[in-house]
Amino acid sequence: MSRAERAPIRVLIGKPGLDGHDRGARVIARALRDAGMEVIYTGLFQTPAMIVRAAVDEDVDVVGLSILSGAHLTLLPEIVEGIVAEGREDALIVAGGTIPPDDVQPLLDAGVTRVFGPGTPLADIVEYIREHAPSRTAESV
Amino acid sequence: MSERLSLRERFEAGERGALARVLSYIEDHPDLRGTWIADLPPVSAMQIVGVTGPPGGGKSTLVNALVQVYRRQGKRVGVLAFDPSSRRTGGAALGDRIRMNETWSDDGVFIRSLANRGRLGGLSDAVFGSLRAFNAFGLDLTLIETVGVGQGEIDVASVADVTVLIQVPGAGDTVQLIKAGVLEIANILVVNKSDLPGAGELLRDLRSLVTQVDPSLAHTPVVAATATSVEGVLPLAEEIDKLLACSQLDARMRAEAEVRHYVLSEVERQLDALLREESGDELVARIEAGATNAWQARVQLIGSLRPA
Ligand SMILES: Nc1nc2c(ncn2[C@@H]2O[C@H](COP(=O)(O)OP(=O)(O)O)[C@@H](O)[C@H]2O)c(=O)[nH]1
Ligand SMILES: [Mg+2]
Repeated sequence: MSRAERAPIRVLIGKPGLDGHDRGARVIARALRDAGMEVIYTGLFQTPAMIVRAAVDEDVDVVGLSILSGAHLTLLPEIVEGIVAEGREDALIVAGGTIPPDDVQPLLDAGVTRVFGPGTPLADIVEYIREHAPSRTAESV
Repeated sequence: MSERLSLRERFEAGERGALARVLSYIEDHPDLRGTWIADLPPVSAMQIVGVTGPPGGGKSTLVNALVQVYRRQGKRVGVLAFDPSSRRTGGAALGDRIRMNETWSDDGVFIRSLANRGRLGGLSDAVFGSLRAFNAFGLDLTLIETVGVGQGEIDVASVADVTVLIQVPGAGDTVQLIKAGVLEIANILVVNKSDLPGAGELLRDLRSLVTQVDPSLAHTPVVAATATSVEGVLPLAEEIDKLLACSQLDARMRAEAEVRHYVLSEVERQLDALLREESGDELVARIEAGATNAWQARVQLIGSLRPA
């Protein structure tokens, strides 16, 4: 009754906030798909509550947040809080985009698992997720 | 959200996170034996509407509009939206939710994206279990969006009470429809994007096509829709409701489709494994060399299948 060996990691790519560019988000989504993951992309202009709802319903292992608007210090902690409030503290929450080095520690303190600075090679992101995504295997029903 | 409650208790209490986790469990464990999830009863009250059609035809957009129609009727609505897994990597881009953002805050809507995980036919192995879970969770109606690669996606017809086939103007060739064999499975034909040029012509073509292909299809409704607004799908919703009211899919038919599905996927899994073994390799080599033939080899292979 073990989880099928091939069961893919499920990832939500969220694009919180008001900036209208999702090229980066799409590039990441494609790289993760090509690495064998199931990637759910919900589009632009998502509120934190929308992202939390999608993450819960889709039961993703990983939430990847791409943010360019500069509003990361308010939006990202709100998303983490929502996901934890829904009982999904097991989810890996990673962020990327244009997050200045000074803001990284506050985000980690707020519960973001990892922040990828601008220019992080895609391969590093893929590898990090592959290594750190929680496994649902242990779940007993 | 107490840690002490079991998944089952949370599911029975109507917690959406628990439903979400049950769906994952069904997807990840082809063999549910010995779990309460395997014992969820077959779909009874819940109605099921299938939506199929070519990529970009507006399936997700149409599902999004229909969800809103059924919410206005006070129904709790589920969506199972399928997309293809890459044969090579197993990964998948699940993008149907992009078109379904309007209802995000509605507790009466539950949308789930699924990859077909290598299954042909437009759905995945998880469809039956997921429908049972939706039914047990108390949803009134579920919309299924098939993979939509435009090839023989006919599984949905043996699962849904009503199957809707989308066509769009300017996509060419209605003859392809006959070849693909999807026309026969549709209970309703929809010309979506009827705001675009060529829609009237396509409507006429389809109406004459259904009569030509098979006289018994002559009564298949052919409806125009513009899925980008709720109003644009009201005539379609009316046709769906008419069919739902009079022709529920025979529960026996769904049961047969379900058991067929499970048997075939188990056989396929075992066959894959057998052919990868050394003896399988040798067998194939002997067929290739003419020492035996595939017809005879099948007996040996079937004999090698193990009880699941
Ligand atoms: N003009 C027009 N565009 C539509 C209509 N329905 C869907 N679309 C557009 O068609 C594109 C593909 O739609 P989508 O629902 O993703 O198609 P799917 O691949 O079949 O799920 C999107 O850009 C939609 O906005 C319609 O009725 N009219
Ligand atoms: Mg779609």
